[in-house]
Amino acid sequence: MVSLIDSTTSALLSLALDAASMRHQAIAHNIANANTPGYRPVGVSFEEHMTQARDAVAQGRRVSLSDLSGYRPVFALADESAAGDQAVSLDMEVAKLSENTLHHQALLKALNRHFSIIGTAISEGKR
Amino acid sequence: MDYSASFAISASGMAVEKLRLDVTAANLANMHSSAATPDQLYRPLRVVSQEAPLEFARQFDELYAVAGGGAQVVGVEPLNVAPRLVHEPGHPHADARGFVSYPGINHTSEMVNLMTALRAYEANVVAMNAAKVMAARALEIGGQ
Repeated sequence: MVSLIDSTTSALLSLALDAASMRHQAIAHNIANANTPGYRPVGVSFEEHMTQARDAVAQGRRVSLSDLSGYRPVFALADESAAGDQAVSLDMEVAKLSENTLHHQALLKALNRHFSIIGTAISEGKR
Repeated sequence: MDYSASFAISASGMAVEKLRLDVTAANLANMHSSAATPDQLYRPLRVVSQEAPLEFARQFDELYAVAGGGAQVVGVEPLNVAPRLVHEPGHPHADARGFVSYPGINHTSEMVNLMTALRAYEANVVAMNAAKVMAARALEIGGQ
């Protein structure tokens, strides 16, 4: 029996939503410093930590809640070599920003669907 | 997640770029301002900005939320450029040889600064609008 209320789906989605908002802050920080000389761009590392969870899903195993504790998104500074007078290109940052906003909305839609499944179960399929 | 940090970051970027625009406008406005003595002469100004470091808060023993961030102004510094000399013997500010000195303002670099600041300001506005959309959509979680 898959637990619906306290499931890994909502936990994973919350983590991914956190990552999306943190990534938004990182991009906003990069854009605010577009004209700062010697600036080092910041990013967020999250998806690269998810390989373990992806492998588990690919092998048909469940991702347990206890596995998720190490998957918190973190801010990451770009390499020293990336710093310079033209470290931030505005067009790339705005493109990343739109992508991130869309990704955030997709995650919210998934979370909404998850909750509506719970709602259907509670009302025994009736409206 | 705290969205006010996102708004503050974009607002700080907008403030810096607006100051850059103001200073460029002041430089262009004083292009033809002469002065009686060389030390009274207007000198072209530049905004010097730097990163306002991101601050990481520790929550449940994890580096988590962010406070601060964005850009900040260090100062508005005068540029050390030679004045532009124009031969106008009748001018009240003319020197003994009949030359009037005007600020050595470089049109091209001022216009390039203007456009760069304008585009950067627009990008900050886009980032702020995106934060607004994300916050508004997050309020719809669980809605029908």
